Amino acid sequence: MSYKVFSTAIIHELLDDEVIVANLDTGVYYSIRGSGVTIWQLLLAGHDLTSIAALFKEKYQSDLFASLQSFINQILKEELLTPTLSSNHFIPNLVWLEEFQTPTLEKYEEMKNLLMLDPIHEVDEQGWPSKSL
Amino acid sequence: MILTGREQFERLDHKWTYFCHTTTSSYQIGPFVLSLIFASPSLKEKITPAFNHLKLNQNPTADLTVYLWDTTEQKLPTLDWHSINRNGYHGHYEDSIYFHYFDDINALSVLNAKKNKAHYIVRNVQKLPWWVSGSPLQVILHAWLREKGLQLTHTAAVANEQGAVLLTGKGGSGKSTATLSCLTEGLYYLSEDYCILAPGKSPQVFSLYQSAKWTSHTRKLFPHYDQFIANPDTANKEKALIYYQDIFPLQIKTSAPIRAIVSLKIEDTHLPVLEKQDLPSSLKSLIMSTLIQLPFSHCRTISLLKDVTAQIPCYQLTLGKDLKENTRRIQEILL
Repeated sequence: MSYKVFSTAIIHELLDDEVIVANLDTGVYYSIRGSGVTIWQLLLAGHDLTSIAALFKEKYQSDLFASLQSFINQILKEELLTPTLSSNHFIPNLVWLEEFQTPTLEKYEEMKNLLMLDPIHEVDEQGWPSKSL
Repeated sequence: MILTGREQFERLDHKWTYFCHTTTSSYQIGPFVLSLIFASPSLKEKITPAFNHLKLNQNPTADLTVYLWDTTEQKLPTLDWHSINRNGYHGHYEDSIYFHYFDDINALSVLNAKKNKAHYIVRNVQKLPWWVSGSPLQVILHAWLREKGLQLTHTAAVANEQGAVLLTGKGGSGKSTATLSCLTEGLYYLSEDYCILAPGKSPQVFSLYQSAKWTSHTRKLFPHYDQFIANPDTANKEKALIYYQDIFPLQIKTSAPIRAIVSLKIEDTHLPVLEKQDLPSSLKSLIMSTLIQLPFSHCRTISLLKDVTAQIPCYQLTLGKDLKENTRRIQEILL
């Protein structure tokens, strides 16, 4: 199974040895580090867990399936990526670390409270929305 | 009621025709002329001081026109609030029209990017909080400037005659105090919180607001400037609003080439430490604080910031308690 970015509200950028990901809908942002950067690149290039595990085994001569699976599950849980039926994949310009480093996904929620708005239900006499009681 | 973005903008345009006594003020925002047309003097008093350093004496043809009104005078037309508020604070975009409703202060910003026209509507100008005067029309200007290839950015900026240094960092990292310290040592002001960055062979920073929001900590360091506080009723409980033109009228610049990016951090040391920093770390600081602070953030925001910063040296300055030494490190970068 391949993956794609969950929605247009998810924006991401590779900055040297780190990927920053922001969810513009929730105001939460993330920092991906370690070998997570390579995994993120491969996921966006259409690779699934099995394919990524094979590439990592070839690179590091070690079975890293469990670590990769755990990291990918975190990404899916945070709804940064979502499964897609597309089977197209390619090898992008990858950031390979000399040695495998545990992939990490750090979460920053500084703005979350500001963005948790109540839904609008009615308008008042001046035409402004009023929240439900 | 389901209304298209264009229909809603036309309704606002139509409502505006009911206002008879309007006044216009024009400002030079980077390379563009901004015209603000006010339906009431009280809204003008709230909005314009932050732009005073950019005021034009005449009203030339505008690149962007913003109509500003208050619904105590004319109520809003019927709007599709479900679509307007669909994305909450991050705003709604449809058919080249940007909608942003800020429910905490009852302010609606609507920009028609194709027509270069916008409406800024508040429920009651008398109830607007003090901080609106510090960075007015931020949402409209952010969306419109990005359409024009410029990026409104959350960073302070100071300059000498040759160029500017961007002072980046999230809230509490020392931007306000460092900016003020630089001004007291003779440098020029461009920004304390938000400025406009323009990519190009020689990336430029343009001033937008001449305002500052000082914490009690900054005020304690510079108590003689308390006489300039613009919000005396709320300054002790919240931050103090200051207009730099009141204090340093001859030290305000409207644009400068960017010479360096300096990420600030505070540590409990006496003397500051200036170190080279890699571009990704500096860029991350700039991108994150801008993305998180401003609605309508977009991949284009990141690419614009990357273009601006690509060739610029980056530093990290750990601020010490000696304010003059902090400024000296910044001056050294500009030499």
